[in-house]
Amino acid sequence: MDIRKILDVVLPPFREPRREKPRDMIYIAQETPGLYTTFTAGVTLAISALMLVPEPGVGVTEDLKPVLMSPLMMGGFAAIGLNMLFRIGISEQAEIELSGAYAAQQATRFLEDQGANWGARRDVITRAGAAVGEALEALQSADMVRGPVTLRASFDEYQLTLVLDYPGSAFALQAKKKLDLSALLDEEGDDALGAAMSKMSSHLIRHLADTVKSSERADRAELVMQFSH
Amino acid sequence: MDILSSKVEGAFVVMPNGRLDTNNAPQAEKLLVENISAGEKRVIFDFSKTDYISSAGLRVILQAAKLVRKDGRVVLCNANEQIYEVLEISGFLDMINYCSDLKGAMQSVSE
Repeated sequence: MDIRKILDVVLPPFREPRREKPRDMIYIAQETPGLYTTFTAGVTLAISALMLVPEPGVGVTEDLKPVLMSPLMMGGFAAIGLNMLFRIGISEQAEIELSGAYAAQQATRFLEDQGANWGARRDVITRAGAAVGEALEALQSADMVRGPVTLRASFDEYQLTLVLDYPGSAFALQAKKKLDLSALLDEEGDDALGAAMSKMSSHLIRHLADTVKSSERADRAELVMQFSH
Repeated sequence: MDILSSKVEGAFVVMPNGRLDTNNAPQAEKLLVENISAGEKRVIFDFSKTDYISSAGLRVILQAAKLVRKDGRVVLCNANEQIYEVLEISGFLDMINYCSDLKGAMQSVSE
């Protein structure tokens, strides 16, 4: 039985929507950041408070009294137990090998499935999917990839980290600055348009992800993107 | 069919189905070039059936805006959250009209 699913049923009345945006604002499982942390802390405090009730340890052996009669000890045990139960602070990991013309769709589906399993917020997963799709498209169209791409995802309640690991050369990240596209409309020919759009992938990835790093070693390269959760 | 299109009250409405990315951007560009060359100068991109747009898709929009810049107009509408965000951070919303629905887009493209 999945405890998180039970909590999803029990806890929704306490949730608040994060912000109003256009359509498709649906969360996969967890809407409020730190919901389980808050729940754990609350239960811990409640158990500690219960221990303040006079004579809770009636019938307990002398050996166990120092433990069971101490609110601090009981609170500590409850926190450890509940953390293990809800896996708070434990990073989840998964990976998939991507190839072919529909690698971006594969990546999106993978992230949606994993996001649902992990209880990740849908807006974060959607943004991550867009960034990965853009990166894959840019890498493939620039012939920087010379084989299958491995997408590694790791998630904890604070951050989603995605790594694109592939044989080839490093993704060329441009400086983060606003693109002025309006002048392009009056340009004759498509050269200026093509040049500007080649910078667009880097621009989008830098804005969609909270941090981006690109590196290359031997004949392999990595693009690491992190998304706050 | 990845790219749906129709003519509504004098406007050419393009409706990418699913994704507008490197796989179907050439198809969308071809469709637009043919119709703009045939006289369609009021173009609406309706994203009500679109889940995702990449830079290749943005290029299609920019190409259409460029083709009709002298005597026509391009308007965007019905974007989901992700597409709206991409349009915003790419700077497209600064230079191309955006409406939340097709009705508004029809009015905007006719102005």
